[in-house]
Amino acid sequence: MEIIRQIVDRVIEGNISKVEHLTKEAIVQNVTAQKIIDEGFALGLEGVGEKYTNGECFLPEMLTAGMTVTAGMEILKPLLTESGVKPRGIMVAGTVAGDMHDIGKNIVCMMSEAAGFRVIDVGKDVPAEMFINAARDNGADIVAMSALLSTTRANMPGIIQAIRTSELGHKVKVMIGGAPVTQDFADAVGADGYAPDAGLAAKKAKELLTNIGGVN
Amino acid sequence: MSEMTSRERVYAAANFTEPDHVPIAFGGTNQTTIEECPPTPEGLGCTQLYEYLGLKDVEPPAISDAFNGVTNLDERVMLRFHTDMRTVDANIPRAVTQPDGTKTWDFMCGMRIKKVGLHDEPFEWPMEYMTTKKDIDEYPWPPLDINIMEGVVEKARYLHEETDYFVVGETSTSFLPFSSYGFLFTGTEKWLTDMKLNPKFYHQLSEKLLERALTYADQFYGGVGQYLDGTWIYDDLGMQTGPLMSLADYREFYKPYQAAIIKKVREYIRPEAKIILHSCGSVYYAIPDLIEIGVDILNPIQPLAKNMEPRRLKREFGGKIAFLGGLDIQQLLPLGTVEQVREGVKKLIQTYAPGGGFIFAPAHLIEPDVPPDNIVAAHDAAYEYGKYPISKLTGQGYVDYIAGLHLH
Repeated sequence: MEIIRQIVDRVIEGNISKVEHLTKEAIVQNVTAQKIIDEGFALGLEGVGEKYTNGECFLPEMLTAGMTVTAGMEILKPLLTESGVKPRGIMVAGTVAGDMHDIGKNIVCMMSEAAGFRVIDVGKDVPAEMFINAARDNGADIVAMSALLSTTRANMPGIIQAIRTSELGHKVKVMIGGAPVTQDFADAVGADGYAPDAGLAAKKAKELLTNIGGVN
Repeated sequence: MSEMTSRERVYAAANFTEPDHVPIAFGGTNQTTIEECPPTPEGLGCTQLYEYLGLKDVEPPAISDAFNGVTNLDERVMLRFHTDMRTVDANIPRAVTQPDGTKTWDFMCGMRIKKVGLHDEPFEWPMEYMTTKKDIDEYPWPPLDINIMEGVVEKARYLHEETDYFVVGETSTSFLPFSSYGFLFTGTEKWLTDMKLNPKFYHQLSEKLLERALTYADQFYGGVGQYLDGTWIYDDLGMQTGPLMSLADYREFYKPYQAAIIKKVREYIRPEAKIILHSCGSVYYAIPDLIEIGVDILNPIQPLAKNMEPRRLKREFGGKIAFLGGLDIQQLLPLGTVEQVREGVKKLIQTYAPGGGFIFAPAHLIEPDVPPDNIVAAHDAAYEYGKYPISKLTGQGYVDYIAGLHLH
């Protein structure tokens, strides 16, 4: 569909006003909100995420692409509420206690929202109980944690342990990421998932849901 | 070869000739020091090192207002580690602690700092709201004529005339504009998206910050330039997994400002003195441009960042830009055994040092989670393996070696 293709291209370009205009135009053309998100926003962000992982674009492009989708989602939210569409899954995302770096986490939130997750962003410098409370109160499927420093990465095992010994237990999947995080580290600390960059995190989140019988 | 002075040694290396041994920079500069993060006992990295070395009667560590670097490392530690550099800082007004424990740094354009975990970090971005020239014009900018030279010329003269150390100049205003725009004043997201969404404003704010940097450069370098062997400029162009921005965006939004400050500094420092750029992360993409605008020495050469392997950088840029740093502080130094640290240092030196062009240092501030015996082992190994002639590394490279240790 031509208008959807244009939305994908403008998301990749990071053109906020054009994406807003095209989103409204798509609604006028009776394209459903879900289709705009799944085939427009999500594909656009996947496209820019792939370029980012391949080193063809960088944080400014990722961030502005995310901003186009945030703007587009604002236009669609009333329609989604009206239609009673359920989210693919519920994710709580935050940067761990002691760490103020949140760009990667913010990109994960944007891309996961476009991928159909309801995302509760608990911010930065987040202790275990805040992750647990947000996950419990919102019925989260996934808790996503980020850290940038070796010293704050060291807080992840304690937070994961606290989640596991809470009433959440293993009902939530925990995924981790950030510069000092590796697959080896994720395996060692009992995380369910790891993504090497923010561009791949939404894909990993979808996989985790599939593994627990969630929606494809 | 007879023993060189520290100053001769660093110049020889920076000029791509082989000195008597590889120069060492731990503690001699504000970018190659250790952290002290009170009040948490586990955060007292400098105190732990002093205790490990059995030092008595140490002065309390003086800590930078943000990022917790120790600026007065005990002279006995620098002698023990054979540090060849010493620093003279501008005497800039300090941040002021507020009743709630956060800090406000009026001199640095009102930036805000708070303790987050171990570290004193920028937060609550004072310029985040800005989008127009009017916003810039109406901001309560601090004065441009504050005296930052109290005692500074005397110290620089002393270091230059009475010691043989390689004397490095440091002023916080050299962070402006560069990534201080984002890291200190607006938040990184706004900095990076302003490039795309509001480029006219981006340049207006950068020009305003550059004006500040150049004015204080006149004061600082005007006073001490003749005494300096090197000076720092900043700041981060890369992250762990790649560049922070495209090369085209670097050339449009960052390079002109770096070039302007280098040009200003060059008005005052001696022709043989060196411009040292601190730029974390994967900066490989910009190195040819950095050489073009006059960067002489690149720091910290973070080895595990993308495309920053010592073999790659030495092969492609050896003889064109010198390297200061390289000791991995993400995995090897905090998590390796003493033997692994020593072996890693040997590989690092054998990669970078042949032909000169290398000064050994930790690849950024040493965090408090690093065991003191590893710090000592690394620098003893640097001294031991750094004696020329140094044979070129064959076999497994430094980065592959660290990866193979599976340290996590």
